[in-house]
Amino acid sequence: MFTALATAFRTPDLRKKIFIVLGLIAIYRLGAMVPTPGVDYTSVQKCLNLVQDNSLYGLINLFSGGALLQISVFALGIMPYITASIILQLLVVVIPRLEALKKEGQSGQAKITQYTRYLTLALAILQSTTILTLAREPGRLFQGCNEQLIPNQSLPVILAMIVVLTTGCMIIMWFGEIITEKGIGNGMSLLIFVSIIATMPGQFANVFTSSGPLILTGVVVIGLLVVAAVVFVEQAQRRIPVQYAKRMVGSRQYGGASTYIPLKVNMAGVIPVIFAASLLYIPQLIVQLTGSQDEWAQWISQNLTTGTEPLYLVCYFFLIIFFCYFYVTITFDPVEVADNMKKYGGFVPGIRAGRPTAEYLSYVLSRLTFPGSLYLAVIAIIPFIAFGGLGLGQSFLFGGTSLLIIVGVGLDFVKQLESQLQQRSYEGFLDK
Amino acid sequence: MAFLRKVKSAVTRVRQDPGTEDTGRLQNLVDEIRRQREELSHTSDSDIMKLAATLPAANKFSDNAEQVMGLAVLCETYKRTVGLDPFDVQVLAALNMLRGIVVNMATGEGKTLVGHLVAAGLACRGDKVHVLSANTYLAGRDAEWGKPFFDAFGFSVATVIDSMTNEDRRKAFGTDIVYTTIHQVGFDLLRDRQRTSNAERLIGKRDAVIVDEIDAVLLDDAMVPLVLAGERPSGELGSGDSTPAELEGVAEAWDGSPPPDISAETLAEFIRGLERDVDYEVDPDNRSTSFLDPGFTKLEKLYEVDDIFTPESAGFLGQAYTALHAHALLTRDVHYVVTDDRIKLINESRGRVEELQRWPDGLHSAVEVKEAVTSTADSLILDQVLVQTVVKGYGFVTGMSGTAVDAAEQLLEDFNVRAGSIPTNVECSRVDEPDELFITNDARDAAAAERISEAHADGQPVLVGTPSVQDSERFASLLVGLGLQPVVLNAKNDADEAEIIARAGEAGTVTISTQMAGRGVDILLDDAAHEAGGLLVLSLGRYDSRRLDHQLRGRSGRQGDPGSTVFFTSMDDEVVTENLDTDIHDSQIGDSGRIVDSELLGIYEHAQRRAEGKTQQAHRKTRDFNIVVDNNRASILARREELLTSDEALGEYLSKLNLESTSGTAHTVDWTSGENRDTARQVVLFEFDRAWADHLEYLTHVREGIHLRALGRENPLDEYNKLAGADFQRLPGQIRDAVSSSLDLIAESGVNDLTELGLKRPTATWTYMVEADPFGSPEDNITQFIANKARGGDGPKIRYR
Repeated sequence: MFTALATAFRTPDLRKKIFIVLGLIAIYRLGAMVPTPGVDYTSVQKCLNLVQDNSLYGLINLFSGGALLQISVFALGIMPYITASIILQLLVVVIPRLEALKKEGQSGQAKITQYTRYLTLALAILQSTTILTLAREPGRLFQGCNEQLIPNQSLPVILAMIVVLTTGCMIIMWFGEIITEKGIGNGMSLLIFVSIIATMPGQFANVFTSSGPLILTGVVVIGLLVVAAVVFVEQAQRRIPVQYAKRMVGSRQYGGASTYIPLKVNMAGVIPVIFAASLLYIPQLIVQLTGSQDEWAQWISQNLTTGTEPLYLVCYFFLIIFFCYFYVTITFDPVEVADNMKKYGGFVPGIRAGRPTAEYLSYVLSRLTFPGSLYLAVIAIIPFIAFGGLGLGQSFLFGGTSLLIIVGVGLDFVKQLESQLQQRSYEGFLDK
Repeated sequence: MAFLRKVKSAVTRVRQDPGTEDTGRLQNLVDEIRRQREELSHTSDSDIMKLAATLPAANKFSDNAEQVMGLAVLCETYKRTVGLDPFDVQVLAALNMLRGIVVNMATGEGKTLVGHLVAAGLACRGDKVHVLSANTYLAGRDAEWGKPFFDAFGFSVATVIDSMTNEDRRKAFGTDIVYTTIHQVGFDLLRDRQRTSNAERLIGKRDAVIVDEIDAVLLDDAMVPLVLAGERPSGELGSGDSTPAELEGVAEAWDGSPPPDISAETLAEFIRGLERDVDYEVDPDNRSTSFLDPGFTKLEKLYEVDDIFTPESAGFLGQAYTALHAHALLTRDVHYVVTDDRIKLINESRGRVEELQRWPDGLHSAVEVKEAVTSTADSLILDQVLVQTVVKGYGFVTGMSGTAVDAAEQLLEDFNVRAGSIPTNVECSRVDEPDELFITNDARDAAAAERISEAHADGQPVLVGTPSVQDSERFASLLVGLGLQPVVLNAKNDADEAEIIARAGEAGTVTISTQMAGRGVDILLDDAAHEAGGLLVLSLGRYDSRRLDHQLRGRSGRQGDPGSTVFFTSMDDEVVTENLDTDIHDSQIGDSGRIVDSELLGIYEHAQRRAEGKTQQAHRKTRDFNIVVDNNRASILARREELLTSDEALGEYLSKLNLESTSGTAHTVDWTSGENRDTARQVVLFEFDRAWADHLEYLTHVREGIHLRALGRENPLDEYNKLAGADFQRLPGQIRDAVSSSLDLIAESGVNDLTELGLKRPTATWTYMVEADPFGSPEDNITQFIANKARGGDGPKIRYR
């Protein structure tokens, strides 16, 4: 990986791409620190120190690299863009007009991208308004902290702040698109990656001050071990060899060495973990929204709120396994794959084309999904157990979601870098 | 004014009209040129010729002042030598093209003249200029026409056509301005890269290129790889010497008992006996076909095995698939014609026969067997490049076309050139009528025939566009039945093309033609036709892109002539059936099968946009997958060139080989000097070429199955690049080993004849095409799933494939 990076730096246009990425990331982080005009910076810092992770906006705050609670100019982060993309993707399926556009290829896709941007704008305005509404009243954004965050609450000031936050969000979206187009890797994922990484030093420092160097070492060692395990499993795949019969005439026979279906142990990626966490968040959300103090509400607060509760863990575990199977079932249709292979003259050696192939694929897939889902569930709950055991409370640092995202984005980035290097024939013809 | 223009172009950019340029911003220069020309017009012929002769030395066309002064001289010289006085719009076009902007000029606006001006301007810069035409006939005509003009500046001009010898080609390519086609250049470049002595080089510097009908050449044809193929040495499957380590295990699986030998004829006969939808099925978009279970069982019986899905019978299964493809998907007179005991392909976007085109090898043979013509040689691909790669090799690219603006976005993406529209000299008075949509082909044909009869009765000449050769003949007989005498121009008789097109503008003629026949030749109206309302262009169905439709429309209304165009479309048209499933209710159909529902009219256009999207997608994919090949080719060719031209480099290369013939005692040969060095060089070059051919073959194989990687959320392009890179890095070692053993063999055997030793290659050239991706992405599937639930299983009226 490091050799790839080093070589990339020696290839002029790749170096330019990497600098584009690094430069934008630097601005992105800078903007995450710059407070929005009108915010009382010292009050925000006081409140931030008061409440650590116990926040309604945990996931969003994570994706914005802590910028949200700082109410910085980039407070909204990349989240509105991601939400808009997901909404558009779903709308494409529901609204025939959009589906028609999508099928028209590039020009249609460009229109959909344009709609995504409009929607991002709308979401950004909505979210910035929401945040400011919360921030206006002491104790709403940071529960239990009664500092006045916005001293001057006249309409022009609030409007200006909305404009600043919205613009910040649109700029981040633009950064993401530039990275995707002119840099390396996917802009959106890279920015999330950066946000997650950005919170790490602070969290290490917290562990150090609260628990001392020994515990910190323990955290780092466990963390690295888990990362290594994740990297290993994420790359594990079962290769189903496929032979294409069509071009066989007259050519050398290559067998199935490079032609295969890569079935990954973890076909679903990080999505089941996010789905499970989101679903488990719903009861908690209901309690917070209703503000109920009834018996059921208390029961939920006790059992279904933190990862240290066994019931929460059990639910989490099984939901992840369920969503793994769910995801694999709907994303990989063995019948469709088998049909496609048959159509183009491909077959798995020793297995009849058509239905038998579909059955074989589905058999292998189900055997693979079981350990895969167990792995995902274990990775997701390890941090809760381990760090809970160390008395560190629930931390996002090595939490399943962020860990899987970091490793996933990192692996993708390196792969793309290598591909770009090969594409440029960077070594030339080495026969000297 | 200038300010308004700036605002306008800014608005255009914001509105996202990518790739277009405002050509009018140079209008003040055109005015200045007109002033200078007025002064020059009083100069005597001999003084103008003197001015012209010194122009190349004095004017490099590098800034505004030089371009203004230079173009004034060019125009005046053109008037005195050729006898035509360039219009202001043509000067505007030339000015833009000199700045690398592709211009959009309607038919009859004198693109050839503009090409001459620009070629001369570029040659003044000291560039070697290639002007690429749609065919060699036009290339010859345009060169001939411009010769007196070019002579005035002392520029040599030549045409390169098919029948020329290598010696003539070399001479022609040595001139300042070369008129030819992209295929001539591409093939000669491929021949050059295989040459074994420096003197054999055909094409020299390629500084600048002017492409006529640039969208047709660069977009419609850009995906077609130009292939240099040679006869496959008998008994050789690939080079066989070295197999990538990862493949060795698999190769063993092939050492089974030899399967029964079934001749291609027997197989073709067997395939003919199969029943569609029982033994095999054809995909609705007519792009693929596969066997069904009973078909597989019959194949197993024929091949005398219990299970045909084994690596051992994959070869046979491949032949069967290929034969089925030839049988079920390729139709005579639609996809190919049979003439002179040969299969000749029809280019679907142009409707003309492509002499040099072939299908991938196995398929071509299968069609030959199907039509029982003499089979041509089995070939080995020595090298291939995309038309796009050839064009990118020029330092400066510009061009002109009647539909350049339609192609602007893609031209920008692929070649980094912008396109701009040039106003017509006389305002265009052609009437483009709205489409007439019908439910079936029969209803459409009847209505179209009626419309033609009416126009014919009025004395209006009619040009009918049809999608295929078959359609043109079917429709001709329909018209004959109505008492008309249509002239048919299609791929079968395109030799008479120029003559037929020349008469197509006479009052009362009905010409039926496949797409784009007669490019570059204007349809001139006679007086009676002029009075009757000019040329009526009537097309049976739309093409796969609006750009091709516009090309057809452009045949009418040249230079302010009257004329009209109309498209008679039907829901049976291929552009609809291949892209959509439609479900039409009776209420949407009017009298005589005419469709009145505006929604369906919209659907037809949507189908066309989908076709455009598909083409673009395939285009982009081909381009992306070719980058690594192009770059690797450039590196290996640079090394080959070095070994070819430098004795030192060769000596050093040979000295590093571990040769028995130099270190051993028995047959010591000094390979680094004299005749021996020449022999060694031939062997080295041969092995370089063989290794590259080998590499290409491996990539073809990888490319075929690489889309499967998407199923594991891997990016097929990234994986392809990785495999291509790994295999490429293996080549130097492979070449070294092969050279060593060949040289040792020569030394040991004492045989010096490389042909006898199989160390020399034969040559031949032809071209063929590539296929697109069958899978959707995992994201598509998940959203599709959720959508189906959301709709409660109720499918939409139009189902998408």
